[in-house]
Amino acid sequence: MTIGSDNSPSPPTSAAMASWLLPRLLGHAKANSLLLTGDTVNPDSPYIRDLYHKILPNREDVFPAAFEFAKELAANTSQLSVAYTKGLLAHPGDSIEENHILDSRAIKLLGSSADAEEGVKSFKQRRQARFPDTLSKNSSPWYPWVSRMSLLRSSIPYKVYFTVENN
Amino acid sequence: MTAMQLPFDFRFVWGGAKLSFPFVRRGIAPECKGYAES
Repeated sequence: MTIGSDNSPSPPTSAAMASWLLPRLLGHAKANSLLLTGDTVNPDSPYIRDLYHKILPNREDVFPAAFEFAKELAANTSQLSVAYTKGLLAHPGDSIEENHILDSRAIKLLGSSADAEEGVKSFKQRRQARFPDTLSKNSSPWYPWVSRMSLLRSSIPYKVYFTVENN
Repeated sequence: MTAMQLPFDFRFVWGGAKLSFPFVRRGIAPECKGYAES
């Protein structure tokens, strides 16, 4: 991750994808308000507050809260289910029909998984689930269904530069 | 680091943070740099 500040001697470069992600996360109107004004706002501003899962009153509480949140998710969610859900959110297809085909396939694949069996069983038994599947071992060749882009195989002669700050 | 947070699934923030996407005030494109001005 690259972290920059106004005091940096030279700007670190990074592809943050703000012009793609902001309108999808907040809507086009709020993305306009943020990107076209460059205004500095607090997290409770109506332009930006929907970005945040949680806004904490004390600065020192931010990391502990995020860490506890991450541990709870890691312990109690299915890797495969999370991955396929993220995939569907990021790449839902170009139409409702295409989305239906994609999510039907995800439903079929996950529905017959060991994680789904454990999820249903633990729910019925009123206990915490212990999901056995891992994304590296139990996914399917179908996922991810989007084509992966590589600059190295591109016919376009890209050059990729990485800048590392000295200080 | 306002822009660098965007690819994450969840964002936690301090209520007093100052956030901005100041690219148009620096003459640069919105891919270049995220700022923390607090």
